Amino acid sequence: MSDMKAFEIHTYQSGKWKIDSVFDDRDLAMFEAQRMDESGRYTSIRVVEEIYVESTQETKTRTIFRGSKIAAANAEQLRKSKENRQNKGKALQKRKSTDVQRKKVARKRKIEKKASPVRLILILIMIAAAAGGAMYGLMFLQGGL
Amino acid sequence: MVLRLLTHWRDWCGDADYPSFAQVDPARMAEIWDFSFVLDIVGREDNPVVRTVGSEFQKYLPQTVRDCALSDVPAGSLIEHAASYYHEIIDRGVPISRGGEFIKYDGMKVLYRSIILPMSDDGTSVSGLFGAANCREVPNG
Repeated sequence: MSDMKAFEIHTYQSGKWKIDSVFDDRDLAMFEAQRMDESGRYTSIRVVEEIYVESTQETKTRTIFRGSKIAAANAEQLRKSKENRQNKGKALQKRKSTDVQRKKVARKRKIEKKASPVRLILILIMIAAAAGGAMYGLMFLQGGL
Repeated sequence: MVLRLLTHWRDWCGDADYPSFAQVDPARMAEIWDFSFVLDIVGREDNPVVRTVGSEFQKYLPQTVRDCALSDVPAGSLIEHAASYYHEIIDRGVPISRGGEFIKYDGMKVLYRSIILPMSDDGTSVSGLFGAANCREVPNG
């Protein structure tokens, strides 16, 4: 017992795939599909290999040829997805770096805010100390004379 | 030849699912017509009748098979093998091509490639089959 193979050429018409013809020979089906694809008469062409496994009585199918229009459409879709992913990544990175920058600035401001009264008090203490020192100096001079 | 006939069939179809025999012009496809055959299936889906056979096709038959039921065609003839899968075309409604080899009635080994196309009188239901086959004899061994 051997598995039975069939090669179906499908054309895409009115929004759905339609079986155009069926071959028992892979090369002939591929040749015809390529010829049809190159004719430009069809929106899309594909060749589906159908294998009937007698031992399990199962039918397996797989697409072995996709017309250039499908391939081009797939490639374009892939390119767009990649571009979108990249753009998304860049935007995310940009937002992250902006966030980090913003946080840094905010932290700095916070520190500045926290630091400013301390600095003011220190300045006042220094002024007071200088004034006190000056007064003590004057008193010392008066007492000495 | 199989692919050329398939191209003709697609042209005949236009927007319809199936073309009509009225669209077939033997003069415009003489090189294919000589290798072709027509099966009448109306009321005979289980055992079609051979209506015409091309002159080249006839060379691979020991006798005329015109108006002969498929079950009665000579064993080991090209029509027996080239038309053997006719029921699949009726069932699926799409052109099917098969190839293979067989031992002809005179003992010669024959390699063949055939195609059977669904035809219709109303453009929607299959009412006849148009087939063709080319072949070559190869030495046994």
